[in-house]
Amino acid sequence: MDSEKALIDGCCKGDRKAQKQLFDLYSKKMMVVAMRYSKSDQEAEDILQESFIKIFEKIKTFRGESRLDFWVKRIVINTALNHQRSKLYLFPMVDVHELNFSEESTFSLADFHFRELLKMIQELPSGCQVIFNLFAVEGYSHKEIAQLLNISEGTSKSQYARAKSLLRDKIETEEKISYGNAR
Amino acid sequence: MEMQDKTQFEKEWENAFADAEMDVSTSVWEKVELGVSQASAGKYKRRLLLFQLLAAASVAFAMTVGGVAVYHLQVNDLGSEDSSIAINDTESKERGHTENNAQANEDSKPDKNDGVSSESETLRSNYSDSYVGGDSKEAEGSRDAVSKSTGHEANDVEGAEKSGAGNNLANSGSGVSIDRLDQTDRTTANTDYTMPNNDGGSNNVGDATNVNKANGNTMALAGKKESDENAYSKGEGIIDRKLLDNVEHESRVASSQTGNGLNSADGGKLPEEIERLFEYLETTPLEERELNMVPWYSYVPNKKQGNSDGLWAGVGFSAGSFDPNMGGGGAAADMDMMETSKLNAASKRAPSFGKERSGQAYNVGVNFGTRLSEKWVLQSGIVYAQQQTTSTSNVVNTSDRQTVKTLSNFADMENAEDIAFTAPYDVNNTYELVSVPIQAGYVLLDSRFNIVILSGVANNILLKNQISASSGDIEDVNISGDDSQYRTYQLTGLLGSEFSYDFGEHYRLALIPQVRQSINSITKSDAEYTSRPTTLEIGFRFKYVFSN
Repeated sequence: MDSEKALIDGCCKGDRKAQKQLFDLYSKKMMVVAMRYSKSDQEAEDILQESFIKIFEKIKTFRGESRLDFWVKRIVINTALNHQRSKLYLFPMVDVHELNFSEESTFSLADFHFRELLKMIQELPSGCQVIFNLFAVEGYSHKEIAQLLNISEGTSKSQYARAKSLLRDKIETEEKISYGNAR
Repeated sequence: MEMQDKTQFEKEWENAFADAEMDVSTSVWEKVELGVSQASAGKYKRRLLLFQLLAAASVAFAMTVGGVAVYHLQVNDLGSEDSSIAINDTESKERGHTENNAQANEDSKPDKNDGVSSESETLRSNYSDSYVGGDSKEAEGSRDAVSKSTGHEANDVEGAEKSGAGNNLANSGSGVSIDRLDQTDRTTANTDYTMPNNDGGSNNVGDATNVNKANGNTMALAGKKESDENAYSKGEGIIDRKLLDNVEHESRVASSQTGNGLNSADGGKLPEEIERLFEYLETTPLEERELNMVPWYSYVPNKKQGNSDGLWAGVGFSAGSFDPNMGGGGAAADMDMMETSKLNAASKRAPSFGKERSGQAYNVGVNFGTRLSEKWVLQSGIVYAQQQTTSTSNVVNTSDRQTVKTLSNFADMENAEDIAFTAPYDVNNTYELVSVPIQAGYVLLDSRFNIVILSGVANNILLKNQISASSGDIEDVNISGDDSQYRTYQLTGLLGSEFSYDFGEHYRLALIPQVRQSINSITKSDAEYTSRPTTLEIGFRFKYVFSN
């Protein structure tokens, strides 16, 4: 913790070494986050770059009330959302009450490398991609997502249902291909 | 964040990315580093903007005040010149001058002169009651000239039958009143007033008998000419305010027309008039002449008594923005350097040196100055100046194989034996100079609160140029003398204003917004870039004023 505090102090003073250390510490994880919200590596790098500039600018406002990695991640997500906001066309896609949310107990992603999963997420429509990330991976509720994106809760739910459906199809397809290759 | 009821599906996805990491391209950090530098530079620029705006506003204010003051000064000077002649003239009449009197008596016929002189006395005596003026000194030449012109006015008012006196006076060499005929018709009251100037000397001032007599004559004259009624209808000797105003106006007209008369007079008489005017200027005491030329702003409260601040010394500090105004250079230079043998042929990268961006300037020094005259001051001093700019570079000097040194321009790169490319880094350029400013100042306001417009030059000697990288891994470089691409001697123009306030008898605190503009390029003639820096700064100066 002391080293983290020293790192934060260094960054507050504009010490380039401390900034580099912080970048090295979190950039790899945050690159994955940025990738989940973007459509390409280049876009993810842009988001990451913009995020870290903001982090170094705003680090003086970090009061230690949350974990530093959560704070960093929130900035990356917000930056990604700002990047995507202009591209988002969020509207209710299906009647959410008609959706079947029943779970398949056998559902598992253990056989997939996260890069494969990333690719699946990036192939989702932009709206579905963002809401899926926020709900399924980040753990936001639909109410929070609705507030965050200034949409209705129903829209968030329907977009998520659509994303979930699309991902299931992709996973099933991939599994079949894998199964076929294995045979 | 609200807790959600996670299903197996969400948990699987969350776990799948829990510890996921991806390598990041090195270019991302370079861009982040550059972005942070630019952001901090932008923040600093915003901070400097306040100083810039303040300095610009102060300079604009000073120039506006200066412009208005100069305008008023000119207007007041013209007015005071006219009125001073007129006032001196009328006042001198009040005191009586036998010289004029003798001439008037000699030139005028007795019967007509009686009437004229009586009128004069009436008005003069009334005027004497109403007007409170200062003591007039000897100004005989001027009085003579004006009294002659007024004599002609009298002639005009009274009609042809009274023309003798005026004509005689005009012929006696004034040549002044010829052009006034039309105007005196228009301002009869004024003309009537000017008459006593002519003859005031012929009667003793304050002589009650003469005054009464004059009143009677005035009444009679008023009946003769309708236009005279305005002036003489109150024969009791009361002159209203309007009349006095007209008097003043007429005095100015008389004065200006004296000038016209001089121009139009024949060559033989011109030197005589000039001589008389100069006699006035020479014989009137300096205080009196200055009094008539004192501008409006000198009447503000707390006017200092006398000039006790002949010499002062002080310490000062100033800070502001420094814009190197770099020009020249460009892509051609980059291409040239691509061919240099020092570069790795395999490298696809080109050396990139960003032009120096605006930074800040600090000055600290001692100053001294003196007052040359009432309105002019001269000041000088010695000042240590530090100017800072930032630029970018992606090349370092690795000539000594031990350390990595900052490189910020092509000239230095040419001198380096070996170089290496790095990620783009910020370069801080610091220039240290000793400056000897010499400034002349025009005092706009001289009271407890003072305003002085300053202009001059500063002789700058460049001590050294330090180039340091923002990254601690790259060593600083000091360049001076022949190695530097900057001239050792630089000349800078200065324009500013000083707003100061006096504390007690000896102390003065001054605020000095100032613009420094390099007169020529501070880079050597063979340098790749030209640079004529502009500094916009605000200075504070604490002065000790030595009493005379």
